[in-house]
Amino acid sequence: MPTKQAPATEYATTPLRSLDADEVEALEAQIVEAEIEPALDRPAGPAAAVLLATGLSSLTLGVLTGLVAAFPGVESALTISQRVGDLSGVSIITIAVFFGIWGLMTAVWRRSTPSLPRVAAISASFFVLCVVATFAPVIHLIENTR
Amino acid sequence: MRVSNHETWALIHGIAIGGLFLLGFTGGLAALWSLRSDLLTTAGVAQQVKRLRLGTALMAVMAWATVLTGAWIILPWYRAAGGPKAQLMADPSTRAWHTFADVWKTHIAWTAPLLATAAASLVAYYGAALARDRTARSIVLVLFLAAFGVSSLAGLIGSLVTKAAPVH
Repeated sequence: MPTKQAPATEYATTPLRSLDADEVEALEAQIVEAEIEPALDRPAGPAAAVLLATGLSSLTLGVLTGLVAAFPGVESALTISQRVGDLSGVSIITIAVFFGIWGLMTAVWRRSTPSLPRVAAISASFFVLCVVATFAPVIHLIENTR
Repeated sequence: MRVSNHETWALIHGIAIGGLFLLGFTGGLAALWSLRSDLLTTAGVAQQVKRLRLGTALMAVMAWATVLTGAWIILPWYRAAGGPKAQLMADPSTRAWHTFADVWKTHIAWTAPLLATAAASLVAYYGAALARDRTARSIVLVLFLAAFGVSSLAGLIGSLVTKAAPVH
């Protein structure tokens, strides 16, 4: 039994859809993206950990600066080096908080994916508080309340 | 013409380390700005990421070097009896260079290495994936610019204070 074949003219007359330049560019971009390491294959936890550490250590810097200005006892307690002054203690504690929180939160969040924008926003607000607290007129304002 | 030990350290703190910091910032910013998967080939992304890793790491190391030399080497000379701090405080017309400018700069400058280290660690962690992840890329850019902004502010104030009362 002979098989029914479509006439050759049917293929010849069906026009192939041509791609415009924008479509070609978009397809090329997709191919490139597929070749690059996927963005979401790593948990956001370790990235969020360093962001939180930055925010909390900045806040520590601001709070300690305010405490030094407000209380002479804190100032002398944080003067680890007489030559450097209270900044010696303030900076050492800030560094300890930064690396401590970073290490701790990396361990806690190593497999989880907290919202990176949310952690970044919280850290940014801590940073702004630090900028305000370390602003010299604010320090002098606190000193005057002693 | 003679450059003292104190002046040499002030130059290392402000110019040598500061210059390398700027170099790291420029290289890193150029790489970060153009790191987009829809604009680059795979090889292009890999090259930009390498440059970005180098730039952010250099910037972070130099930021730490700046604050550590500033606080533990230069600051004691600045605070010493008869030093620049005493000179500035002795004259009411120059007192604000210490009470406003130097006090602010010595504190706020400590945020620069924190911000720069955070930027460098995000770049190291995400690598080429930053080209696709717009959120992470934006966060790195903000950290990067904030570190540069804080350092520039501290550097500017530092140079003005040094002009008013140099460390000899």
